[in-house]
Amino acid sequence: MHDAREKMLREIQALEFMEIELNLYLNTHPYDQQALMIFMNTAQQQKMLRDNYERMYGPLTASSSNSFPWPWIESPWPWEA
Amino acid sequence: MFGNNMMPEAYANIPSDVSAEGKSKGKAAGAYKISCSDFDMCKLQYYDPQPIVGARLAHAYVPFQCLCCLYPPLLGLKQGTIFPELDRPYGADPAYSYDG
Repeated sequence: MHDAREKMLREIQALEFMEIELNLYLNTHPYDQQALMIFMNTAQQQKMLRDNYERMYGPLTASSSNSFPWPWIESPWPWEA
Repeated sequence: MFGNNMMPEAYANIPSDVSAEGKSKGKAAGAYKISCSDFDMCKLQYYDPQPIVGARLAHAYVPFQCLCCLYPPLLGLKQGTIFPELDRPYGADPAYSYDG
């Protein structure tokens, strides 16, 4: 896999992880406005990066496979990624 | 109640002024950048929660976490947490590790 693609995927993974961490934090701190801002910021960034990736390299999940011919099977297997 | 007595030994060698500096900077660091400019400092700091007021004997207490500064996403993924105060890898502190 190309370096740029790998790097982008890594960043998406990192942002997804960050989102989960903040999700858990907010579960116990529902009134923390600062954390909420960071969460929304992270979620937005993650979505943007994800959309970019999918536009460039193909779907990240089967449910975002929305073109013809079916593109999902063309993406690398987990052990190739 | 516990204060600094609960500080893990691994962090005890850090001069107090260094960790205090890291802490104050960490709070000042812009949250919207989703990172802390000097997270190396954050990494050194131990969690020093406020004493639990009115703690009763034979009850277990968990100090409440407060948002301080966060690791940048990639470092967070690597460390397994985005909260520097929770970043305590197993084995780093012999006092709390079985085979550390």
